[in-house]
Amino acid sequence: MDPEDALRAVRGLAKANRFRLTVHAAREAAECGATRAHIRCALTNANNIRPSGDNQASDWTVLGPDLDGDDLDLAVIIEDGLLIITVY
Amino acid sequence: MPTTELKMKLDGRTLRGRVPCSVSKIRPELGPLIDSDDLEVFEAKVAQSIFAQRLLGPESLRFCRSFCEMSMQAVAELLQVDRRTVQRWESEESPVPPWAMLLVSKMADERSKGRAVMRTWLAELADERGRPTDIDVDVT
Repeated sequence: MDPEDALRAVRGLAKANRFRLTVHAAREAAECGATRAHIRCALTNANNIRPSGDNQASDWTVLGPDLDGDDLDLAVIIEDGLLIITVY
Repeated sequence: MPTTELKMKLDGRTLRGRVPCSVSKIRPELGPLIDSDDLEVFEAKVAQSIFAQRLLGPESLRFCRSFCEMSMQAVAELLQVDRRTVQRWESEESPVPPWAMLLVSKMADERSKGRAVMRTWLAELADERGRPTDIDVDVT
């Protein structure tokens, strides 16, 4: 999957609420008082993506604005029609 | 179904609850995963607790606002204050007024139950247009 396709997939899956968080990412987000809405907003409006991790076909780092326009950096995996957020 | 504990720390208080989780068959090495819908259910319960316990504070305000999927600007327009005022409340530069906390936490509480009465009322109050100048009141 090339970055353009990956970005499209991230936006579409987030819009359709097809995402899950690792317990680690969910706990990190909760500790910061960040909500699902902030994460969803950053993903649906993601404007930058780059490959990351061991599996460059499915592991990505995504950058997008949250509800207040502040950039959020998220590590995600696109797998089987689902978005998995691994690092908040 | 297995569950895992999530904690939300807001204004020195800890709100905790257990949420369902599952392990991916494709990437089991990631460990348990929490579905975004289940995360929203947890957040809804946190929002209900904030309203029910009348919690007050900058982090609680920010949580309720974002649970309602509202930007600072959107809340500022509903409450008829400047965006920077909301920013000051949330960054602890000035104390959160109880009336603002009550209105925003009520909006979050209603959203958690699939309603938006308070938000609609505030939007109507913020909109001067179409308000009658003569009103007949029934005193019978």
